[in-house]
Amino acid sequence: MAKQDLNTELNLTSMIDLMSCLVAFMLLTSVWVHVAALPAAVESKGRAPQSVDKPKEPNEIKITVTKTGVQLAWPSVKGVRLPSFVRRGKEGFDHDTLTEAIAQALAVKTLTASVTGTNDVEYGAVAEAIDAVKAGGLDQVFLLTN
Amino acid sequence: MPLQKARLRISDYNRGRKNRLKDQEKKVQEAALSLTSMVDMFATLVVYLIMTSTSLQEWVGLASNIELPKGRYIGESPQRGAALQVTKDMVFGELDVELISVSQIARGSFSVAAIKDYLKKQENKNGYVNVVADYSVPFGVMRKIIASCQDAGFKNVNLAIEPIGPT
Repeated sequence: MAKQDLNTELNLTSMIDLMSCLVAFMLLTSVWVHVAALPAAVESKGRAPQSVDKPKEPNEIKITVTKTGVQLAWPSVKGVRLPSFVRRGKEGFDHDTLTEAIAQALAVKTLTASVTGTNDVEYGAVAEAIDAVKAGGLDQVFLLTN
Repeated sequence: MPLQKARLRISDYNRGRKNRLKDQEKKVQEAALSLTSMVDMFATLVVYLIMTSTSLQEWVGLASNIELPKGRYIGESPQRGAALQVTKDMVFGELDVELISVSQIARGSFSVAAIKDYLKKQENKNGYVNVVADYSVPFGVMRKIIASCQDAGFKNVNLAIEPIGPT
């Protein structure tokens, strides 16, 4: 009796079919937009207390986003010249100027920031202002709703 | 002498057929494609797609008609929890639960009952609500939505942004 050949070939046709279907399905259904999160504490006067305790010393930067730009009200930070207004152009406001100013102020003093906007300004502009503040190294950001 | 018809038996036909088939078999050459690398590539692609699709859906769903604000801050991805989707026209609880229209919020009072009622039914994870809102929604409307979140017991917000630069 002749010896049987041990080299057998697996039939991969159905596996490749299945894989192709799976790849096509996943490519069609996958979301290609990456999403990150910008955490902020909500603050409203006369409402529920905020979740993050604020220090008693006045060290809050008040940031108001308007149609024309970003208004900044700084607490006293000695030895650093800080902008009071960052103008908004066609491509939004100057993100880097705000980030650098926050970083310079933080190097001298521990700060918090409260961010708000006028009713007519886009929400996206306010979110970008919060992003610029966070990118400058300031973690305690309050979103004012009143 | 009478002519005799040549009689062919069935086995004669079969023999001829067998011979023809043998000749054909000799002409056919076997060609085997090596599919190993193709299967490897497919497997890698499937694993990559599974990994990326789960990480994107981890903390928030994203409605197709929302243009997110862009940002550079990259913190840790939050947990999946209570979420609001705000398009240019409508506020959704989840991707298919309509809560209230943006124009109604703009006309209405400071606290929005529909959003409060919806959020009170949701699980409160460390007081955070994930807000996925379109760039162009007026802040006057967002102010009311966020105030309603606060009234429902959510003291903090995770604003969804589209990261720019390396992630």
